[in-house]
Amino acid sequence: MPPRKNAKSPSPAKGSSTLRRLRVVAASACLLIALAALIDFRDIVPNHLKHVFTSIQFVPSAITFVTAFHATALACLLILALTFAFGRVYCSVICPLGILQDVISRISAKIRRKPPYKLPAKKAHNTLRHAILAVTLLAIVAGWGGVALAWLDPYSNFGRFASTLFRPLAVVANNIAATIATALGHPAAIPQVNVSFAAAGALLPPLLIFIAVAIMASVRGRLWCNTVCPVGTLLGLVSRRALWRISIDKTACVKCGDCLRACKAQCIDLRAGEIDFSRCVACYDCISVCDEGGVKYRWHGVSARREPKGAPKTASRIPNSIARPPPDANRRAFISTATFGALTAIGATALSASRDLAQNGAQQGTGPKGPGQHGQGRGRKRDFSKLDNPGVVAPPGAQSVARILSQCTACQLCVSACPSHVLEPAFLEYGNLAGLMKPRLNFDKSFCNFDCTVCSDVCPDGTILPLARDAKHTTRIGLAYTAHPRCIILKDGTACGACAEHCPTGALQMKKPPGHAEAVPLVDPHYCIGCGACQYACPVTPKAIVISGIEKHETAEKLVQEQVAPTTTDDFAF
Amino acid sequence: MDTRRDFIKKGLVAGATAATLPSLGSLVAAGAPASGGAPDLITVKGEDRVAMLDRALEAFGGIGAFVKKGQKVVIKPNIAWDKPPELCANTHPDIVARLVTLCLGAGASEVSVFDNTCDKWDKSYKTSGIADAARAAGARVLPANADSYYRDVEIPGGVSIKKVKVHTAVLDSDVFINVPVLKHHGGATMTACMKNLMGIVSKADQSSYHRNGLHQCIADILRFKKPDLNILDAFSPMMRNGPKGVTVADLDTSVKQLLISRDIVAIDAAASRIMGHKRDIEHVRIAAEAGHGRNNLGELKIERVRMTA
Ligand code: SF4
Ligand code: SF4
Ligand code: SF4
Repeated sequence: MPPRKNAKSPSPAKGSSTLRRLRVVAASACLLIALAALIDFRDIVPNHLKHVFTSIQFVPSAITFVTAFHATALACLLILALTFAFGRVYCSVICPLGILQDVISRISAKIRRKPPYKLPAKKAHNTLRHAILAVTLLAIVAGWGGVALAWLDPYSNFGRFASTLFRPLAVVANNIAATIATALGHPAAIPQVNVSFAAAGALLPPLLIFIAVAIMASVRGRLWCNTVCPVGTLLGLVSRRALWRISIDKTACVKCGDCLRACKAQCIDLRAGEIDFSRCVACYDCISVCDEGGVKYRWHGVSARREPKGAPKTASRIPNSIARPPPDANRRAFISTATFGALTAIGATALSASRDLAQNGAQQGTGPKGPGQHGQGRGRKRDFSKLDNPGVVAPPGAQSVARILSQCTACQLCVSACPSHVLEPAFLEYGNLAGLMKPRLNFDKSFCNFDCTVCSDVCPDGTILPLARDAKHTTRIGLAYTAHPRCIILKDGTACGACAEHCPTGALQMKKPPGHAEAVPLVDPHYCIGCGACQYACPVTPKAIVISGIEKHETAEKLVQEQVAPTTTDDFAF
Repeated sequence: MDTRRDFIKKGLVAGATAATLPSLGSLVAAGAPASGGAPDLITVKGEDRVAMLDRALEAFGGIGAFVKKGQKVVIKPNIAWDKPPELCANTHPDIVARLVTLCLGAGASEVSVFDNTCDKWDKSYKTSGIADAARAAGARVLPANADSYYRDVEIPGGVSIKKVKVHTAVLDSDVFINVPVLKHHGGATMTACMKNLMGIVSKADQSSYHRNGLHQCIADILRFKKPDLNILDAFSPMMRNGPKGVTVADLDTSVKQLLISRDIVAIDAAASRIMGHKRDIEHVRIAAEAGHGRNNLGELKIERVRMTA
């Protein structure tokens, strides 16, 4: 490249605009909060902060908007309004996946010793991105929204990266530090944390998507956002005719090409002097890089676009290697009626869709059939087949397996926030691919703490609905089934009772059945809530007590016992 | 054993004496007076756990009888559950805090507190009130949630366990104080001093205890180490649904005792009487037969103290 003024790699830091600086600060904050919320292995970040930050993300907010209206559901409307006014601010500031891509491309630029972008302007892949958006919308209509949104929502994708990929690494780093601290005689300074890697089936999908996102980001900037991400495409449709847009002031522009070298979206057509604002992610790098003040945020009004008047200052100095033939800027609109139409479409259909899927899920579920069979009489016949083929257990507050399938976007926030680590991303436990990566309780690993309501406190999608502690105490998510022949009290004739030791409800008691010499664990299904403490504590494999999930959660009875009478007739008893 | 009947009788007599003694607005020793030397076991009945602890230690000549200047002390309370102090599923934080203060006052170079919990460790530490109380009193509150905090030890002559991973705080301290809470236990029948030592071994060992004969394993660990001092919080023992408990209705709030002994078998034998057992619980019997302590309460020098306000 011949040496010219401005030909050096345009670093956006140069002459940084206030707008850009603000964006960088806000975006960094958003990324850090998102990372902290999802990685937080010491449970330091307050749960309401996790909830608030994630529930204002576009897709979670839109889901709540449709299913269970509350304050955070307004966020999606706000994001649309913001986009209609100023462009895709969501993509540049709020969306953690978007910001992560910027970070990845900066890091890869450092490694490759190249300026981060310097990408030629490219035509938009409109057919592809509109097709993906259309497929997503159709999926929602067809009742597969739970799947499509789970895999395409940028926030949820980020959540899976952070929780299944970054978090274990952070824990490993913590444990190395803990080992050093212990060696130095300060074991209390940094406690060890158990590393939990997701099972391969749950680890691979996010890993593959992460690799794809990382490659696209380091080679082509925000290509993911502008071809794959349905939220990006939807917001692009809204921002195309935004009230204020970034555009090139042809009177000031010297066509040096700095702006398009700084553009991570490859959306600046310098030959035509136009910016494809549907792809612009509002990063303001072009504004801050232009020495001539040629790129500006300008009022474009509600009606047709208005070009800034005036003749070009100079002839184009853009080398062909940088500026490709002008893209026929986003003329083929996917939905010509822009903006709110799309949201209305999601809204109208998602509600009925989620109901449909809920019904389907309830019918095809893998768990034990027929809710409401429990607690209909003491000593009812236990179904021992459930021991070896237990139903999947959905988190308390989720209310049913069907709601997990239709509403959860598998963002992993509950999984990473669960202080007991009993939640893990499912592989095929829900019995179909729709359940992939969605939370389920694994009682071989841990159990659900009686007093804990964290998962319902954090879930941004309204999938796991808030539970008061009292309600949690009687929320039945499964039922314990015993296999006494496996129990070592009978098998080996030794005392155990580890299961009863852990039971928080008193449903499980060590009792001597008639004709037995030994007390064995007996579950009273009226009080059992399926917390899994007994299964977790059972020391034999295969477990002699197993929780089987139930399709629709129920309300258990509370064990009420009289105050124990003082047992001592004598003051000291001995 | 007929001696058992004997000491129950003796106990009843002592208790009756205690009950009929007038309270003179000060400490009143009931039962056998500590004539010459410390008792084998002291139990104090009162209203204030901290005052009861102080009084009980007095009978041994104060904490200085156990903790010397410059020594490292490890205190092992029961912090098994993510339950608040009022449910008495864990040792009361006031007792732990007081003990830390006393040990530091006696010149201990360092006092550590830990337990290998059943519920999530940091939550149990917090909810039990023990972590904050012990830290405020100047203790090092140590994590016990990962295998790296444990080291292998041999159990010479162990019947069911030969090798076990024990928390390094126990291995590296000079003085080991065991401070459990008294509870019913679905599997081990009772949680007192011996059962509390399950919290010094790793998670895998805890699980193997359950597989390999719980009572024998609980007794076996004493071959490796016996605490230098056992302090049992029997203020409101959990009489059923233990060791976790469901509500305060599980507690017998009339007991209000604190027991102290160097002899872990003796203190547990006494504790089982509080729990209403006429005969020794299996692990207590096994430990006594293996010579880890004396369970014949009738032959022990027991000091019974009632504190009045
Ligand atoms: S309620 Fe249970 S599943 Fe949910 S976060 Fe708490 S322990 Fe985990
Ligand atoms: S249930 Fe868990 S994974 Fe699903 S949306 Fe809620 S927080 Fe995210
Ligand atoms: S029986 Fe098991 S699953 Fe049921 S409440 Fe008790 S510990 Fe939980």
